[in-house]
Amino acid sequence: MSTEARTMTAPAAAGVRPVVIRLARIAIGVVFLVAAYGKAMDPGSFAIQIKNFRIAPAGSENLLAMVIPWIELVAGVSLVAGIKPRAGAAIVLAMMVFFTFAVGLAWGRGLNIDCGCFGTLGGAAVGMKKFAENVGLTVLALIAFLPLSRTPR
Amino acid sequence: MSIRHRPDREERGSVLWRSAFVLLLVGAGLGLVSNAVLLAAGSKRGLAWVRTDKKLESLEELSTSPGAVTTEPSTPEPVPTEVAPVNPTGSTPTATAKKPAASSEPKPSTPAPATSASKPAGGPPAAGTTAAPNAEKSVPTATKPSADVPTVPDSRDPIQAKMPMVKKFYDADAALFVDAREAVEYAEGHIAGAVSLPFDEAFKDPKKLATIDPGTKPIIVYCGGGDCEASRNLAYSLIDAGRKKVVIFEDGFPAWKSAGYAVATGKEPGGAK
Repeated sequence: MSTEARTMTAPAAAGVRPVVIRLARIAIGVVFLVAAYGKAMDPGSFAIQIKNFRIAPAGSENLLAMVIPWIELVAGVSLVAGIKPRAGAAIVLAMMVFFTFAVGLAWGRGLNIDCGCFGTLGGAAVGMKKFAENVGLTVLALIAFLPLSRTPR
Repeated sequence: MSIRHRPDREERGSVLWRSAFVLLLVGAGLGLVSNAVLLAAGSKRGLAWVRTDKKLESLEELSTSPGAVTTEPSTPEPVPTEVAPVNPTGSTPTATAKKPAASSEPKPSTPAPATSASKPAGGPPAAGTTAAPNAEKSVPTATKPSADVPTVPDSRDPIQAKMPMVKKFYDADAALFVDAREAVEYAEGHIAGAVSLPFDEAFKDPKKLATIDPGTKPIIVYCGGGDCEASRNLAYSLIDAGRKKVVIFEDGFPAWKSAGYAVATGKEPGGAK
């Protein structure tokens, strides 16, 4: 417990104010809610977009397309409503890291595809702009994941 | 646990990971359940649990194996007669919704119409195929009768075609060529006479699909060859928009160009066609 506590709180010691953390949680939570909505509305298109990234194992695209939007939704609700927000932030952070990796890989391979990041709500091609956007959101997710208070010691 | 006594009462350590795991399961569960509900309700939004890429039929096989399919296609036969009246207009997108189950699912033997089409005047072929050819008779009139071009059957899935077959359609001016690549690539060089509709743009603005309407002629979609996805994606989009004869030129532009066939550059279709 004590070692865990120390590692978990190390970023908090860097001096991010609790209010910033709270704002970051709400902001990234809203982003995920919007993204979840766009994807859940049209899972078929999202499945095609997943396939276009050529990362998912063949055959798994549909399963991912039906599960990812709802995980985003639950994590988004968790952050916005403040229900187990650190757990929600952990999920969001993990997803952002993966999404950024996926976008970076597609960009690096020169794939000419739609990101699908927000489902069918306004398409955006994968590229440097999208990658930068993902990096920014990942940083936001990282801030949201920080604990609100520093533990003594 | 001492955590409960902390002022912020936020989860840490193993409790945090357990909560995250629970949230993950809840989300995944909701996703699976919602899809099950959509499937049960027969919604179009419901997805198959495992994605399988359909093996597309090839136009070459459809047009060269007439005898092999005479017995099989008896099941889908009512379909061509039903859709025949609306077919020649090519502008009835809603019609597709009615027939998918009957026409595309049964088995890859829908080719019935194609078999007789290459010889429209051949009289009554086998007894089993007569119904379908009658329904399709109107199509060859759109093409030059002299051209040796097979009829593309109506299908809920795109049909693949290779270079020699595509060239036949090109020479007979019997199809509308659509370039699914980016506008920049199109401008650098495309099949002369092909119109440009990048899949990305069609995806963002589905209204653009309506501009691709050659009537009774088939649409031949191509992209950069190899494993490019744009032509396949655009083909499905066009079918969703109501087109029934969509062919994918799988070898794509690179093969066309290296074969020395007519190429145009710039933003306009160009070419003599």
